[in-house]
Amino acid sequence: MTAELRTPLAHLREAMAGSPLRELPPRRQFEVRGHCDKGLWLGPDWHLVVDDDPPAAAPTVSTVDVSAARTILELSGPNARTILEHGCSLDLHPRAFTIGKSAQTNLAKAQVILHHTAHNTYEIYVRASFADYLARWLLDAMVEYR
Amino acid sequence: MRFTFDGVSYDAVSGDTLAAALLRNGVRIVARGPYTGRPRGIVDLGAGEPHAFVQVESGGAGEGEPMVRATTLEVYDGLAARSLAGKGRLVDAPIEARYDKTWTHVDVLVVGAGQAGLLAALEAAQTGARVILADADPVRSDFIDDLREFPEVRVLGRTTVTGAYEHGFYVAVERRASSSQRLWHIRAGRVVLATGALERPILFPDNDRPGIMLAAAAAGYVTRFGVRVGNRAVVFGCHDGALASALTLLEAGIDLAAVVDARPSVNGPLVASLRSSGVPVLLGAVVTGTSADADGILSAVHIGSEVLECDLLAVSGGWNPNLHLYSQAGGRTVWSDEASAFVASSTVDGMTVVDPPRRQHGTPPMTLWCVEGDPARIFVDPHRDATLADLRAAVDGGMRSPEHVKRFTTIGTGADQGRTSGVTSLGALADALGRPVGELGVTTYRPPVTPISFALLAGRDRGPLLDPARRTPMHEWHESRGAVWENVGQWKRPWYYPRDGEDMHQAVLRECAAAREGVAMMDVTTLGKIDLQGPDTGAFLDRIYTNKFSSLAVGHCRYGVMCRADGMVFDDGVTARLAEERYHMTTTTGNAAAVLDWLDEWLQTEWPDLRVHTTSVTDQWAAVAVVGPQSREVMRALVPDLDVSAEAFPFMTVREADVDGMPARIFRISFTGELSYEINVPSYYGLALWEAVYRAGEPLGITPYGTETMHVLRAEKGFIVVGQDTDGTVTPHDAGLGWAVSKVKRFVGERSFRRADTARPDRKQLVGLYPRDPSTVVAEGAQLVVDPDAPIPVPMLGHVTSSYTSAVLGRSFALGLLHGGLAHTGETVFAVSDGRADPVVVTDPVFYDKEGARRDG
Repeated sequence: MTAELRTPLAHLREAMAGSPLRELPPRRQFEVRGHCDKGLWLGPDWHLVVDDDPPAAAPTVSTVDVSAARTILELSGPNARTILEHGCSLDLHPRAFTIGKSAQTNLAKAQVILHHTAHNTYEIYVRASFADYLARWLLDAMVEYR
Repeated sequence: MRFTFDGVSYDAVSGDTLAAALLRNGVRIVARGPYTGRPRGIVDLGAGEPHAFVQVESGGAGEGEPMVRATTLEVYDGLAARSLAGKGRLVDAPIEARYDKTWTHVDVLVVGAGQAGLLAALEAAQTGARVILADADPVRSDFIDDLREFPEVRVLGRTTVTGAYEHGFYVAVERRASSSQRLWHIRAGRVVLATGALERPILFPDNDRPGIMLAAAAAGYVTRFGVRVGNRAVVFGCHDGALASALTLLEAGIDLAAVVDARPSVNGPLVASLRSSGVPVLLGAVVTGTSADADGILSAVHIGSEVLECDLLAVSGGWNPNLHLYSQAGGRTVWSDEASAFVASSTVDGMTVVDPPRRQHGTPPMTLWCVEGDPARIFVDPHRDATLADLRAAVDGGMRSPEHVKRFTTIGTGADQGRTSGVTSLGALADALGRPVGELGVTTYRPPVTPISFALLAGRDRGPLLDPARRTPMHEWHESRGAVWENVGQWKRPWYYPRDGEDMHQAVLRECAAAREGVAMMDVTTLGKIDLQGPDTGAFLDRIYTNKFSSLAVGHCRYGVMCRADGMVFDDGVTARLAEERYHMTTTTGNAAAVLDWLDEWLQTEWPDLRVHTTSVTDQWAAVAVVGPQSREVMRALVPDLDVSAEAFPFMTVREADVDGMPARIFRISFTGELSYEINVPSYYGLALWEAVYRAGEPLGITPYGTETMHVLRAEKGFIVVGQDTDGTVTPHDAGLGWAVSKVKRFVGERSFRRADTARPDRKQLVGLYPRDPSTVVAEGAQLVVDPDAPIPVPMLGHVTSSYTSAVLGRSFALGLLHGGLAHTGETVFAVSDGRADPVVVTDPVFYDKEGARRDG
């Protein structure tokens, strides 16, 4: 499932203790750790967790199931970054947006979470209702690079 | 390569610009003055060109681009262009050229690929920096191959950096193959401006004839394109650069009738070379006028009483450092007598300005703006046909500032943006005012340096990509059933589902009847949904909503109204308490993002002490409303394990249940007044849920309905739609929602209800309206007046906000906002629209089932 976790900063350490998320990095950096498949930093008190099992809810953590809220598109290949740069103003050069990093940003006219998962490979989390639009936009952006 | 210009076919050489190809073919007249109709020729080599703007007509039928500089347009086989007189023509056919955008970040942006720019790029590249080297022309140099070895260097030829903005942000236009263009958004750590200098003319009578060019441009056509721009030339200047250009022309075999230099004495090797070649060099002399042949093309140059026959007059008044981007970025310029130009005088963070090489070999330059003569024949800005007479009229009218004069005369405001005429016109103004040019200062440079077409600004955001179309998981089902779409915010919602031969009116009556008499279903996925969690959520909602939510029992729902601080209705919806510290809020479809922003703004800026977290779950849940007296039967078939009786599952409660294997939340809420259930499932089950409901309802003839039917049904019950029946000036009391406003607690907007204005008895308030003629549907937006024949201005008492035909009422009806509201019950007013005045009777806004007997089925 995919869940959004919100934790008051002061309680973060306490909230994570004893949960499968205890090794979730509270930084703008993603790494696979512990029992959690994936944890993305979305904001100072805000994480996105992607895991087979629902995250254990510590008392001070608010957990919301958003498994169906976002469609995940994977974009890969030597021109993947170029395609993204046609619609995203972030610095996506691998020196700046290193493998493992994620960011909430805009891609074309859709709000997305962008996750640099591997060399030339990105996962794009887009709100489900925008997925059709974004897929069309990406296909159109690729025309030149086929 | 073949191309056509004004319908005549010509040959061009690969690499030619249209200007070079026209000169190669001896075409001298390429434009006309926009107001005078005077023939005009090519003046410059590049972006400074004031005359040669053409209409490109090649491509598919009707395809083309207006106002393209012939000096920057590269000829391709089959190019067709037409001359213009100051303005082009937009074509309305779709263009096939691809316009797109991209973003990039670099350590160093180098603008200008001359010697200095190339070296700067190479040096930066050797440090491993990310570099862009951009030049408006195609980049030709052996250096380029060296640069290409660096993977982090990008060379952008045919690319004009058009704007400098805050924090190292630059915009550039790249002209690509097949007339395509790309807009670059570049964030640069450092910028090197190696943009060189722009040659400026000297003003004299009849200075606009075809055959009169800038001297370095004339020389450039010879050296860069091998084009012989004339047979017999006069060169006119006041600095050594003009002499150098004269030598270039001479070396190309062009006969020089004379070199005219305004300086009284000139020394150095250039003048010596010219003289030794037998060229007459006239010192302390100026060109005082020109003659033309029958076509208006230059035939002779006047130097006082002397007349020299020639077909080329190459003019140079000096060099202006090209400081557009520097000036845009906040750099200041100051007049330098030594350079006879405005030069950079301050520093801009992160920007290095490379001084253009001074093309001086001997005698210093002289500053010469204008030769005396008939001011009506001296064209200060030929692109605008603005003359020295116009400029003097501005001065005689009392204008002193270059900004005022610019606006009065239109000098510098044309599509050429006064690149060539700008500084010279300042000099002419300084002369007219009798002040040094340095005191006037240059007018402010603003982006873009060269015009950017709207097509490029639009990029690929056109057609289906103009605006995201948000789709629910049931979209394709609706489409397959022939739904007609309504755009609600960015969402596509079914408006109605016409069956064979039905028009909208018939379809909506049928859908309404099904909801009132049988069972109907609607895709309500698009409603905004917000999950709120935390121990203070109840207290928070008490402050946001006008009514109380902390007292709501777990498992129950309540309709809530929220106001802005001014006390006007902002949004409404049903919010349920799912657990002690968890609520599920719904918002109107179009307002979902605004409401979430509103909640977060209060939590983050005013009440950070409240322990509440908000999460958008709009896309998490797909929802189907099952509506009508027979909806309970459908629910029994669909969810056999859930007791859906009125007693076990009462109105305004929520249940969790398994629906056909799908985990669901079911709300017993109603936007129609009928018994109804809204089933929510995770959105990837949305289509499965819809189909399951449809199957379960099929034996009862379940009818899908769209937004139009929803609007009619809710209006029959007097339920408002925020944004349709309210407009930001309506309080809850005005909208008949006073019952939902707490008198015992504080909330956002509450204080505004104590203002005298919100208690006025004559405020516009919600009323029902029955047209006298039950078959007349009055126009939404129609003004309400007492006497449509009253003298203008007719006092306007309000307006119609919603208007429909009702199946269940058997007649038309409407909602409206009326001064004094229900105090006018029973009175007749007129709904006026488009010249019609229909009598309508004021009535209660609840038209149907006033006692609310139908909600439990």
